[in-house]
Amino acid sequence: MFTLWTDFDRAIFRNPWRVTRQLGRLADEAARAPVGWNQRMNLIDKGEAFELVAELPGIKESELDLTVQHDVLTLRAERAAVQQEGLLSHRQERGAYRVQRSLSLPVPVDPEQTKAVLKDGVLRVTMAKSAAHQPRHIAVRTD
Amino acid sequence: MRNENELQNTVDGNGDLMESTESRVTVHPPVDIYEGEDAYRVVADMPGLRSDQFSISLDHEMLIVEAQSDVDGLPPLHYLRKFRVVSGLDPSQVSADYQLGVLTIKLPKPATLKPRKITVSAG
Repeated sequence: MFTLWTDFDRAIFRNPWRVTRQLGRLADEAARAPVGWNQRMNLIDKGEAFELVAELPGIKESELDLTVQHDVLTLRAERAAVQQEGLLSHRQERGAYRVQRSLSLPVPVDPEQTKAVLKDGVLRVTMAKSAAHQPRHIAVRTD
Repeated sequence: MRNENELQNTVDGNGDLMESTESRVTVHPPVDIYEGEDAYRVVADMPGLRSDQFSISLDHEMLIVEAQSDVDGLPPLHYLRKFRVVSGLDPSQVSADYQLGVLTIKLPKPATLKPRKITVSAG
């Protein structure tokens, strides 16, 4: 167990992706189900809005379900196993995967001002912060 | 196992799908390899790329798939995968297609590897 954790430590400094891969493998063994651990995801605060960027290779629009409520964004995506009829398979590393994430946002967002674009396997969700949480400029007066 | 030597991944042996150099992070993307009657297909998950970011080369029985990922909002990544392939593949016949962040490379088989019907002649 000790060596396992020291490995993780080292990996974290070099590359966080390696860690999620290893965790994915462990989780896989535990759950015996495809786990989408290797999909990179970032949530960025852009001042007036949050932007979620997620890599979802091979996911079609119809396989994606996004909901936003108050300050929680829920993302569900599932890629089915690919059937290549009549072809001999030499290597299968991609397989099916499922992503299910609920992200708590620091402040509520306006669902009406939320946009999602899926392009080349990258999902980009822009969520405008609700009016009360928009950054405001303060005019400075000189006396 | 009959085709073990025909398409062999050269980076797979240590089970480590990552390597990191000082300047950039290199990732070995997950890959499926299929063989049909006429061609091999190499399928790789490589999301968020433009066609000009790919570099695919076939040289001396080595297929090298490389790409520089620069997705806005994510750290840059360098994708790299190398495969030893059968001899006799024609580089000018290799084609690649990119959809939904998935790269598919088609490598038509040389004539010597295509299945052939043998007609039996009665003497």
